[in-house]
Amino acid sequence: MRVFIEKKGFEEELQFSGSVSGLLGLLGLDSSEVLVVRGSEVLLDSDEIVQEDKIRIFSVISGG
Amino acid sequence: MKCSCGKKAVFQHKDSALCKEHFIDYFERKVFSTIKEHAFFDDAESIGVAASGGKDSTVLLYLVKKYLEQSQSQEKLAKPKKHATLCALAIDEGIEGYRKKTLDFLKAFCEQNEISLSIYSFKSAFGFSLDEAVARLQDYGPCTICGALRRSLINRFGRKLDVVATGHNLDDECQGIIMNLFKSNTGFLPRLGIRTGVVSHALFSKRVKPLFFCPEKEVFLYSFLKGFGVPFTECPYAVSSYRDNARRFINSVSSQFPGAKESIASHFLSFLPALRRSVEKKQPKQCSSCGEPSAGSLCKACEISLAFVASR
Repeated sequence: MRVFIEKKGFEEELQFSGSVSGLLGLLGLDSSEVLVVRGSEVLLDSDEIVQEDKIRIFSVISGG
Repeated sequence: MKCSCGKKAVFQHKDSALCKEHFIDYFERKVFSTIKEHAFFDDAESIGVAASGGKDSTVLLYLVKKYLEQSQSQEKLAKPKKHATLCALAIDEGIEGYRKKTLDFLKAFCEQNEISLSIYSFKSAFGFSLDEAVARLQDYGPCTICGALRRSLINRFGRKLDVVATGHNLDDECQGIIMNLFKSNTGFLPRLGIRTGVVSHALFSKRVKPLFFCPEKEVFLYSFLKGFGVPFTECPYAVSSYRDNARRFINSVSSQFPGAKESIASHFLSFLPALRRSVEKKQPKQCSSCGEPSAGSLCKACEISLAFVASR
């Protein structure tokens, strides 16, 4: 699975299939601080993702 | 998970799941009802939005404009004066590699949405940028310097308007409440809330927070779904701030107890009137240097400015 984490600014290759919350747990990310997107589809914590998916993770915390 | 209309949900909170269209409708209703119920813009002729080019103020700008347009035609919305003007006020603190990006976005957004924009900089108002101040003033944290100078400028220029809306969201408010409790700054608590200030005074701009009940993630989701294209930015000084720790703490609690943020904010609002009654309502003094409102003889912005000059 290819995961782009906006805050880090680069893409990672991961071996993962399961729920979005499982992925966030693996990456050590808090669900309330990120928005997970597959293509243009916004995903919920309970949504299932598979190895072939391209995932983008946006930080909802910005500004200042 | 599906929305009640059968479409794929993009948002879930407790037992509620909403698709894109229903989430947008839910979010706009929430902001509009906050504006209406708290009479933020009633009879206002000039409305300002404190804007940074970040997601919160961009969403706020868009929705205040939409509210003003709709309020002229819909009886159910509280009415500002006919032809009430809207403008964006932005502050350029002078943070290398950060602020220019957001201000460029803000300029384009305001142009596209036909909103007038005024930008005021620390450098022109105080003679130094935030970067310069942080490098030389070891006794002040970056957020302390930035907060004091920003508040001073927003107040100075916002005073010319009937009301200034700021993009503080639910997370910001909870963090403010918790930080002040943890630091025993209980004297600051009465200054928080959906409508800021303990006393009304000609020297204070009127400030309101239409996103008060909107969690940060909802604001981001709305911005994302509307396709605003707000650039990702994070203030380089935010990582070292006390607020960052408060955010992690509250989010950790909130993930175990959904609705905790809403509870913190709504309970705070319920006892805020009593809290405000309990404090002595001192009329502000005027800063002996700049004439702006101040708790002491010198306002915080001038105190910082003098410290900067002395550090040369």
